[in-house]
Amino acid sequence: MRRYWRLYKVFWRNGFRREIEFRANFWAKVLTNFAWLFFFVALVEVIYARTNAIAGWDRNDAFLLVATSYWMGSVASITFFRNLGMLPSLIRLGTFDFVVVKPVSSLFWVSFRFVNMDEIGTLIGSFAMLGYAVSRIRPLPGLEQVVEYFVLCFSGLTMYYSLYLLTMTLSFWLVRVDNLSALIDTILYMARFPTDIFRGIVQRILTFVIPLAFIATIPSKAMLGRMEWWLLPVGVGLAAFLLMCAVAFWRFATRHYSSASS
Amino acid sequence: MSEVRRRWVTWFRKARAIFSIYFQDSLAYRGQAVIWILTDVIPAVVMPLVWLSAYNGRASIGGYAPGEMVLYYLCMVTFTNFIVAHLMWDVAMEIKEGQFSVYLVRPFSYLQTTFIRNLAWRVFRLMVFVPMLALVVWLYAPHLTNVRFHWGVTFWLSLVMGHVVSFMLAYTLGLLALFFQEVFSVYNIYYIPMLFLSGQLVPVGVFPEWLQALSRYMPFQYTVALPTEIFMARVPESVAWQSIGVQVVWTVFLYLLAKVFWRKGLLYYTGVGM
Repeated sequence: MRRYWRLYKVFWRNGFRREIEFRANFWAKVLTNFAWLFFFVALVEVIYARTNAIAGWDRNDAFLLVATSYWMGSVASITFFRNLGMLPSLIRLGTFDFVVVKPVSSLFWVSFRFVNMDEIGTLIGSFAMLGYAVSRIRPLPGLEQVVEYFVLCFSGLTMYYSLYLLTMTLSFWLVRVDNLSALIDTILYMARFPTDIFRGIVQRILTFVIPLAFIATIPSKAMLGRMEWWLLPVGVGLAAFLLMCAVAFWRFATRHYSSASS
Repeated sequence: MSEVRRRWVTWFRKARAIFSIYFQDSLAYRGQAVIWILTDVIPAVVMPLVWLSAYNGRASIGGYAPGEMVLYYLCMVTFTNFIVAHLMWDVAMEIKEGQFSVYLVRPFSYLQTTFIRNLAWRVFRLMVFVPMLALVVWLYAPHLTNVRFHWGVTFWLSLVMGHVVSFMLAYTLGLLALFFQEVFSVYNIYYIPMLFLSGQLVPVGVFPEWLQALSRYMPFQYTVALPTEIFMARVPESVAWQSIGVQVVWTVFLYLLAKVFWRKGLLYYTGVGM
């Protein structure tokens, strides 16, 4: 465990150095990502100029939701999103061989090797937005709500990682599908809308099967004090369960990996 | 006369060959194709639900009744498959990696090759999309009452011209790679106004007045929004013709711009890998 921690610190340092090397490029990427945050805020403003609530979420609630999904999204892309996204090409080109022979867990390497700094601006921007939205909730959320919020966000991130890993692991068999990550990206895009817009069976599927609701809607509801209490243990449990499934599937897939190069 | 005819026949044979090459290319990557289509379709299918939860008893938003709003997204996403070109990424990649040189020595213009390539991909996408559309229509069926479409000349013209305008935008942007190394961030930024103003996110009628006014001076709403609105019979005949005129003006302007980029850009092109 200590070794992995030390390794991860090295990955961070490397990521930082890589960005320092191409500074203009780094700022261009930071600005671009920031522009996309602005883009979504503009969409929210356009919609709320025409209505006062979407499925019971007013404008400030919507900002809380958007900030939540954006900061979770940027944490994901700083840590694992880009890395797992490269998995199909690692497999297709046979470079995955070099990962397997390294004296670390291949899953750790594949998930966290490159720290992607260019989302750092979005992270700061969305946290600022989060602070703004939270400060306008009346009555102000108590410590308990804030703790619930972060526990659920962490569970949501774990679920996101697990689902993404489950999907990307499929590329051991589906060699020609290297844009699977675009699909997952789209799913996260949907998490920026409250899952309350869905009805009946679809809503249940999006809560318990593809747990989109846990990615932003349920944590935001916890912050707003509108969440049913039992969703907290369910969320944590579901996250642990999905992570276990994903790791098991990964182990199964790597056991059946037949290199492309040899 | 027969000389002219023969030239046309040869051109047509070449064009058909290119079409079939790229059509087969799309077939080879059908798994990817389905995913790219889903990335367009999923947001467009979710947006009606967002709006339906936003009416709260209002009769209309931006001139759209709830059922019309649903219909807008279904029509828009269908046309998007045919209209919206993304091939500046491919053009730029080919320029950066040097495969572009191959096209320079071929007896067929690069503009035409790219156009036919885009068309092949668009037709393929439309074919893959139809079964998805059937599913979506079935899902939204309760909202789709009182549907009336305008199948007239203006619709077909605006659809074809929307395809052309979007293609010319992508092509011109692609050629930027002849001058600049790092064009990908430019493309990434380009998607922000493009998605917003082309009507792919929300109907243009929902925008505040000033944004609608601004949008009229941009090419984007003349790609997807215009044919969709004409199809839904929301545009008076005279305005439709006028807008098709604007599409033509944009096409000519972008064509000339692309010509300048081409002539100046080839002086910069280094032909990596030669």
